Amino acid sequence: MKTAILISHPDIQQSSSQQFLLASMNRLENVQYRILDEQKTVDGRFDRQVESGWIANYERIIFQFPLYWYAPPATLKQWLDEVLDVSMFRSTAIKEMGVVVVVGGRKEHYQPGGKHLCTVEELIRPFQAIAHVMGWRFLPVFRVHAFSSLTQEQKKELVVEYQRYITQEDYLCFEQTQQWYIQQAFHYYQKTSNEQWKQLGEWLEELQEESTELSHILKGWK
Amino acid sequence: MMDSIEWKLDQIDCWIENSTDYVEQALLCSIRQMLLQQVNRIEQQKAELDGRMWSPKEW
Repeated sequence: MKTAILISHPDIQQSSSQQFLLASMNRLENVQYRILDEQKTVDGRFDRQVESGWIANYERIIFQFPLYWYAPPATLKQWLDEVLDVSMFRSTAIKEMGVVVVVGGRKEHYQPGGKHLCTVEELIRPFQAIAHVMGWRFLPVFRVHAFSSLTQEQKKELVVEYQRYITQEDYLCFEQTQQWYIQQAFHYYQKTSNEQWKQLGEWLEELQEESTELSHILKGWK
Repeated sequence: MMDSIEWKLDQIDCWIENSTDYVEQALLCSIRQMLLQQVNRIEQQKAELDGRMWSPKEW
């Protein structure tokens, strides 16, 4: 599956979270990104043909942006206004749409009764409506909260969670997650010839098989 | 099973320590977590199987 990540940020070079995410994805195959803020033409608008042509061959598109004053950056709204068209449902390969949103505040502040009273998902509801009208499956939202307060361990977790979100078939499914790790291990083995990756892939596979066998026995029991 | 997983985790810890690449190190840490989740799942499945075998409904 080919994934396109459409990033909007008013000052991406200075954003440590966006730079971190860029570094996390940079070796992934079948993933390309585009910084929307760098694509405007001299008249300050987007070239609809160029933009829609760029995303046409990807099956999954992901909008990635920070949340400022409870909203995506103005450039992203402009891109949506000037590029998106309901005919894209027929003219592109897009099947799924996801959102990666970077939020300064802590996770627990975004809930009813919390500091901001509503969830991040509620704030970006229009994206869900867009996916619906375009006939694209809307993926669960990937939220990065309070990036600067993350520990080293949490940042390492974020690298892999983010990679899974943009490349894995069904991000929340345990079986698919298992499969994703197995593929990654063998992929690294192919790339590096380092036996440790082969060993990891085999361990993951053995446990996957054992669990599948037990599932079958339990199913047969019902 | 716990003995063999302990050995595997120790082995992964060594690989994590020796890895000099940040993204690879992150993947090794996550694979370590995944193995633990798999083992946990298997333990739960075995417990469920055990529970059913000893259930009077099955006698």
